[in-house]
Amino acid sequence: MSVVGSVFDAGTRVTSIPLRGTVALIDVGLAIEQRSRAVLRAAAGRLALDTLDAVLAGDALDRVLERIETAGVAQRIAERILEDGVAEQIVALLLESEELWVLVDEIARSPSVTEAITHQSAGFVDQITDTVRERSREADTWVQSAARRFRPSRKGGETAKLTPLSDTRQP
Amino acid sequence: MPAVGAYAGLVTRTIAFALDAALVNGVALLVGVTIGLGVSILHLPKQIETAIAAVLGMAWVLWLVGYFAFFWSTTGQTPGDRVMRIRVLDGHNRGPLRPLRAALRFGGVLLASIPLFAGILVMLWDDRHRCLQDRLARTIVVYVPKPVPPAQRLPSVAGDA
Repeated sequence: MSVVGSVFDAGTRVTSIPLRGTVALIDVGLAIEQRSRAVLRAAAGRLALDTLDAVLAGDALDRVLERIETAGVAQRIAERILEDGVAEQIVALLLESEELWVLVDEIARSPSVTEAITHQSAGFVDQITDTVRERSREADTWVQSAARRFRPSRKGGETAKLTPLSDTRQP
Repeated sequence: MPAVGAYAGLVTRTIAFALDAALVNGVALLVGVTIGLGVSILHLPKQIETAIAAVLGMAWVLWLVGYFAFFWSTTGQTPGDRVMRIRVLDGHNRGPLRPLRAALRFGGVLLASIPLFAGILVMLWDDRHRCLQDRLARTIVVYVPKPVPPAQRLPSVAGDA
């Protein structure tokens, strides 16, 4: 390597020092910015949550809802939705969607739902049979009392009472 | 010994018997139709078809008697009786019947039905609501009290066992 080459290299190194320093400074600056953004985001999120907690804890939300209610906003929104046919559109979209039927299928197949349906059906059958039993026993009593009128009188004109089994002989 | 109540009345017993008849004949019908369809595609000789019909007829009678005799001699309750909460018991020891007496009782039911059900209607004038079959087989039919759900039962007292 010639002397000129060595001098050129040394010159290049010397002049690149300020450039490298500038690049390093820019890197530091960017890192600081990123950190500060993250800190600010976290602080903003925390602030938002604190604000939400404060709103929920106090009666501010109640007052807002009360105002909406007294102004009839909710009613107007509901009327608007119904008048514009938005509700029908939503229902139509839901019915057309494949996911709804998949969801319905999943719910129908779930063991808890089938168990609940079985339980309800069994309860319904029990209720019906209970009613039938009750009515049939009433009918038994009625038929028995009607038949007793045609019973030939016993000695002394007494008619035998309907004796419950517990009153009769026991082993 | 099972818990027993008052003597069962005519309407309840009739409904219970109708439920049993529906069950017995429903099963017989299902079996008969299945076998009949099977036989119809086989093109068997007339004599064999007649023999199959005779065997099925006998099987139906055996099924009919066996159904009632089995339930009356085991739990004292046919499925129809269970639905209507009544039970057939021996008139003396208040237990289930012996199989032969249960079969005799079924024969009594047929006899009681022949004179326009007069043998059944006599229960209306009997202190223990006994039909002809009950008199023949010395049985009684009682209401079964509603079973108490386990949650409502009283806790057992220590030392009961």
